[in-house]
Amino acid sequence: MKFRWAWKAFKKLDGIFCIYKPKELRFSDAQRRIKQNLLRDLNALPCYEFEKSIHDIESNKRRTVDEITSNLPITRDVPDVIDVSENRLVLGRRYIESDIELFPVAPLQKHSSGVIVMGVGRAVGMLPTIARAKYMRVYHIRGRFGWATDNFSPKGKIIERTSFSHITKPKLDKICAVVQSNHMKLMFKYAGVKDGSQEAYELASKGLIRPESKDTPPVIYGVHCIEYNLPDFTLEIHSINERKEYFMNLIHELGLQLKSTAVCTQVRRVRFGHFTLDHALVQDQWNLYEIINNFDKCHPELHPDKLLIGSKIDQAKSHHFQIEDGENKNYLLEDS
Amino acid sequence: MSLKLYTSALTQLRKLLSLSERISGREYASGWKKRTLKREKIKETVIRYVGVNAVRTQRVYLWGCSATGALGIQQFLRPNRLQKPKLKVPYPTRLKYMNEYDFEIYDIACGYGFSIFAVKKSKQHYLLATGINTDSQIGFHEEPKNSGRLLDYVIAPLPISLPLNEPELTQFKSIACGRAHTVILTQDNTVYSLGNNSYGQCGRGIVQDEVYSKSSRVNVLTDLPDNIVKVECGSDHTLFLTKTGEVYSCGLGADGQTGLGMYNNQGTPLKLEGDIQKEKIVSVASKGDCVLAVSKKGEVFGWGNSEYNQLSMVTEETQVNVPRHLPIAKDCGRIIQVAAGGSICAVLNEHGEVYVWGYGILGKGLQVDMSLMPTKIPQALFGESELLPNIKVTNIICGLNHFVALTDKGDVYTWGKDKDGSLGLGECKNQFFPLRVALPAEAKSIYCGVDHTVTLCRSFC
Repeated sequence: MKFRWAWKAFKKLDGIFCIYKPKELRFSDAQRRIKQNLLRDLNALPCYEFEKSIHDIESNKRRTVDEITSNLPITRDVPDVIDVSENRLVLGRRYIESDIELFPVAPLQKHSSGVIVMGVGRAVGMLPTIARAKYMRVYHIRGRFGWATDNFSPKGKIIERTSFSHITKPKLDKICAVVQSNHMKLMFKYAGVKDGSQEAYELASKGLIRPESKDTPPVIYGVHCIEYNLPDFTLEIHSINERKEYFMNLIHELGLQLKSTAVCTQVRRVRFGHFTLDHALVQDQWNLYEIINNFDKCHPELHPDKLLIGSKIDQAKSHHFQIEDGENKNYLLEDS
Repeated sequence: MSLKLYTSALTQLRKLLSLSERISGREYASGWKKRTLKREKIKETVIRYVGVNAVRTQRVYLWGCSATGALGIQQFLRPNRLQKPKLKVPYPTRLKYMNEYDFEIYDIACGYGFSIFAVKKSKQHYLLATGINTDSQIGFHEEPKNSGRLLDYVIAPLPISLPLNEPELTQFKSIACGRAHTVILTQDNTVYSLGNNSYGQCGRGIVQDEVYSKSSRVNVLTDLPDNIVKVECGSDHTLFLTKTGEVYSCGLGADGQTGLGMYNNQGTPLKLEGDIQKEKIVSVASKGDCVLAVSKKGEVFGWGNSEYNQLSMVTEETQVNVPRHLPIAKDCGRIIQVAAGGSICAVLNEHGEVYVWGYGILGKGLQVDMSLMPTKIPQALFGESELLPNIKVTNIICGLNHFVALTDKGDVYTWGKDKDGSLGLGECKNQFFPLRVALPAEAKSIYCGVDHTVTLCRSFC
């Protein structure tokens, strides 16, 4: 996509996109970098009237004049004095940092990497709706057996080293199954239904139950081992409302259950609801053109059918949304 | 990568340290050096928490009412000086006794406030019992010996002495416990019975005004065929299953639970007729006074009490004294197991799905408290979801008012009335749909009494 006029690009900068945050980069730094890249690309475009190419002005004028007075001869006024009131040298850069609104849904901490959904422009108002959908996140957690540190992180002080040759994959799988089924009980607790009520039964018989709000403790829906290569192993975890510290603790306790110790060496989010790694922009692609292209890629994932999973649909339909078919983008902003 | 760099840097540091020591030749070390050496020492020593040849061990977890001593954990009733006795244990606790004495359990039976464990220790077989002994249902126990102090309540497992030809070498094939009696089947196909015989449930003639307390009597049942494979006890009646699929019964017949076509008490076991006459019965279940049986073809038969609509799909009578065929297999598929409590019934089909009917907490939520026909419990309640498909229930049993189910993942689910913590869910509250019990091991088999539950598990590693 090419732009000849910065205002047009700025107008288009309004939607939901998806980035892949690398490891060891603070989210705030990533956010600042994206903002600066956007400003750099916007300001590189013609921003003021005088910066428009002559060709554009002429073609515009001829068309309009032709339409109105086709019989009259074409005249063109060339001003004698150059107007400097709207000049880059006078006013400076047309777009500054406060012009761009850029916010995330469920950002990641410094040492973890993965998919983050972000909104820019007016679509920032859409973010609470996405957060309310309580999408399930999929993580790949890497751990290493045989050592324990004081703060569960690989950079902490080593407390002890343990043997791990007795661990086998079936044993690890069994512990994973237990972690998963232990969380069944918590689901009812956090779903905000009364214990032993008919509502609880109806919720339970549907299968997965989402927590009531985003402030509940973490709930784990699925844990399984996808890579096993002693002393390293990788777990795929499906969860809601999790934090990095929780995974580190989980890996540590998993190690203790297997009569060894383990440390979490990597946390990677590979999926955020319907947003997958395919949607995400890597660090090199954090520029105006890729981001605007990414809006179209992410747009199908924001269909009300996909967005209303976590909330109570009947209520939401009547109060907040007018569900319509087609390409009407207005529903994105209605809820804000 | 970073870890490798880190370790290589450390080895260099260690070399430097040793070098400086060699150069200077001094003995004392600075604080920095001391700390570094200490840290390095911690990193070098590898701790081994598991032996090289470690195997997964058997563990027993139990929960429920401990006031009767049925849990077999002495500390609950005779605590240390600063602790209080625990009369209810609504969460799984481990019975360490079996591991301490190297007993390997191969069968368990739970009665009304007592439990019996068939155990093996280096080719020697024992029968250990704990709980209420007011009717001598777990044998004659004098402790200490020749003191005249006869135990009415046993609070830690004690061996039952049986008049066997080869004691300690005879294996126990099947054991079952009723309200106040115990029936034991040994490998040489002899059936022994202990305890209360006021309705003939021990399989011998009823003696008026007999005193059962503190008696050392053990009966040998002689009127039975020699191909018995399983014994099963209701509250006051006993059922015997032969290899050819016939059922014999004796005991209380007031509700027709003996199935012998009469409502009298029966002292000696007799063969059942009716609809099961030509069928090969593979399993019978009874906890109260309703009996369900399942044939090899997967058909279900029932007799006994029907006051709570347990058998109302074939009859309107409240008592049925002849086995009747229940037409539920066409809706539920081929049945492999049945469970019959006081007023609740459940069947398990070959696909691992559970169907319930009767009166009480059935596991279908708060609103459903009665069902005339079997209704399915959603498989999602046993932990099935998009992320974990194909969960199968492999075993279902029930107490008088609660159910216990075991899945193929080794999880135990309970629901029903929580009498003295028999659900094991942490609080004494009725549970209206199946909920998982937090067990720290993989369950292999489940056994259930009226107010306590026992699970036989294997440790994770």
